[in-house]
Amino acid sequence: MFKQYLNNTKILSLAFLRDKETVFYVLVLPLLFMLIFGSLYSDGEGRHQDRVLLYFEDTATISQSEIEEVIESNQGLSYQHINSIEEGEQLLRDYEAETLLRVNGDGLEFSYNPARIQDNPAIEQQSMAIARELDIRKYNLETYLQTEIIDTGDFAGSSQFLSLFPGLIALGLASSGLFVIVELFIYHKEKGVLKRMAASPLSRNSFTFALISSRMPASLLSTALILVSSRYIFNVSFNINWFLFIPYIIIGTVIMMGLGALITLFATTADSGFQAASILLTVMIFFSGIYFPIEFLPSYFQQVSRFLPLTYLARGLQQIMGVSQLDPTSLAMETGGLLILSIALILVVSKKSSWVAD
Amino acid sequence: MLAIKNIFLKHLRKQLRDRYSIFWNLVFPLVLLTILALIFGGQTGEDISFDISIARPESVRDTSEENQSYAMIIDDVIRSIEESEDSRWFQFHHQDPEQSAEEFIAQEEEFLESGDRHLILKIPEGSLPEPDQIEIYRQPGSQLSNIAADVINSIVTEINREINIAEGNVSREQLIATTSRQIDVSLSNGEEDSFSMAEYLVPGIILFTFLSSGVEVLVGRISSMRARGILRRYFATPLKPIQYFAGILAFIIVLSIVQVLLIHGWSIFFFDINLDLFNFDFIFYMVFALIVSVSMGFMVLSLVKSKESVGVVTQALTYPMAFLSGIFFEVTGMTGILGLIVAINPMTYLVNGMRDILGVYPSPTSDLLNLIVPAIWMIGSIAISLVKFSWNPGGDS
Repeated sequence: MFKQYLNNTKILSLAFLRDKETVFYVLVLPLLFMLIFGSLYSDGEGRHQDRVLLYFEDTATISQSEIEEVIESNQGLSYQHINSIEEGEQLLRDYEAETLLRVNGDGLEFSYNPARIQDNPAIEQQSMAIARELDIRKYNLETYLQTEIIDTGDFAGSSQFLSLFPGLIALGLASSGLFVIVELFIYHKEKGVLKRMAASPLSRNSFTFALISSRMPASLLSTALILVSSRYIFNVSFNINWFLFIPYIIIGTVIMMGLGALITLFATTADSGFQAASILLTVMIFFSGIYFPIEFLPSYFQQVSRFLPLTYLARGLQQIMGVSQLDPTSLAMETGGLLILSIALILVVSKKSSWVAD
Repeated sequence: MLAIKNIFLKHLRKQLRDRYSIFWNLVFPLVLLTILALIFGGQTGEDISFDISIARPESVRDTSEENQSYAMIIDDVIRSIEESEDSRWFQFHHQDPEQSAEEFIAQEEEFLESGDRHLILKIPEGSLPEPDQIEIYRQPGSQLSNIAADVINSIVTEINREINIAEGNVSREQLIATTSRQIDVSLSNGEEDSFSMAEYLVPGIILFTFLSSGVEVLVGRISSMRARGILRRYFATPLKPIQYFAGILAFIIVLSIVQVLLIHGWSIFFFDINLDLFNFDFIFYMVFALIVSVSMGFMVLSLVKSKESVGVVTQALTYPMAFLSGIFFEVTGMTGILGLIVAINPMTYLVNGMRDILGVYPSPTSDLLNLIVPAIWMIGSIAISLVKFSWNPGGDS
């Protein structure tokens, strides 16, 4: 029985990894998105230094050297002198610079490109910091009330950039697990594979467990690829709780299989099952906070995210990888609840399904 | 002509019968437009409010009449925010009278961890003129918490400026007056207009549907029929390949027209924007963009023979081309290999050209490049297709 299971797992794992589309969706696509969104969200390599365009009017009372010194003291900024406001605005429109600083009399005017919606808040902060620093240097102003920002939790600090990687691992698990039950109970039935299996001495449970197990190497491989690539491409390392992480990868894959089982209950053909799973995966990508923070979505879309397992999977991985505060109770409750529900759904589908094509 | 019509109708019927194709080709672009406009356009602003706990000190040091405490100053600031229009952005949480400061802080720290609070501000005990420190506790995993911390930082900066003025260190007139403005990026009739993210996205989403029609729908259908040997059987009949090509091309054109109309209607209905999509220049450029996409689709079909590989290659081509072109968001800051992809990507130039023609955003690349780069891809793809394309690559069926 166990030998049957092992042999089947091996054969199905190899078949799974030989499938080019599967390899693309499980292994390549998360890496591709990591490169694209990682470069977008990272502040370091892969993005230009923020450039300030400087334009001094004849009436300017603040000297060029004062402003240049302040900008040079900020490592994230560089500057370029321009000859006219029109030239500066054109450079802003062409995305060649982040802000245009016009020095007029003893005032400063910062101009931004409204199309840079993601970057503008940070650019505005930097602009205000330039003005503040000029005041402090010029008049020796006191900083009476200082601020100290304290990050809660014992992790290094998070951002959309860091949250991306656990989200991409969750996406790899979703791609790996979501389609398997549809494949097992509808596609293989349509193709007559199950009928032939039923005629063989192979145990039904052994085949089912083997197929489920066959997805685990892909999930682990996808996870390893994300971790290694994030380390070497973006120089990111995580404070991973390995004792929880490895089991969570397996549990996460089973949870996504459970969602696939739910689809199987309603799908009539393999094609409709796969299509429904694809649509659900796309919806989950947008509403589970992998690429965009859930908090930025309208409240009605935030409600949608509460019903998506990928939201909890991504959140759980963030906690286990040290990106957000580990909350053992909610992690256990959410993961446990989803796991029980998933196993129940897989069992229901397994019992309900016939191995003979309709 | 009848043969072309029959091929066209066959593909149209298949499209209409398949609810999933309807979703991906007609509904999904609208969903994408809506989500991206809501997220990047900041149109969810009404839903955003910062929950901030104010932890006052148990006691205040040195509260003589002339030395105002920081706790009093911050109370005044909070009161003025609550009485202003900005109050909708903030929800301040204060300690209950029967609660000790320690109990309040412990309770609020739990709320901060659970996400029910975005910040805790621990107000210092000190008084002017001695410097002191305000502690801002944030939840770094929450984007709103990070933004709230930046906002509070800015408010504290303003407080310091006011204190410096009140202490006589500097006069208000002496301080550097700082203003900010957004540059005008609208090209419509030369009039200044405010920037709309939804308007910015509409040409991108149209281009995305063209890319999808050319590189996914067309390629998917031909490769599927090629793999199943249907095309080989077709061409054993009097049907000529050119007739089949015309029929499927007509289907792609009709599909694209429907997509454009749907996107246009949705942008009017949902976002109240009415771009002039039907001016001659834009129609010409849309046709050009569609031809580029279709020719790239044929290039894929020419270079990749098996149906399975075609699916992978189209996906591997579509995602980087869409995401690394500025269709959805601006990507000009990319360097290295990704920067190179942006620079050689025909979609980068097509979307710039489309936005420029519609007056949504002036093209950062020249008009010449917006024609030449996609044209090079188009000519290259057609040349490869002419040499390598086969309706029936042997042995694949």
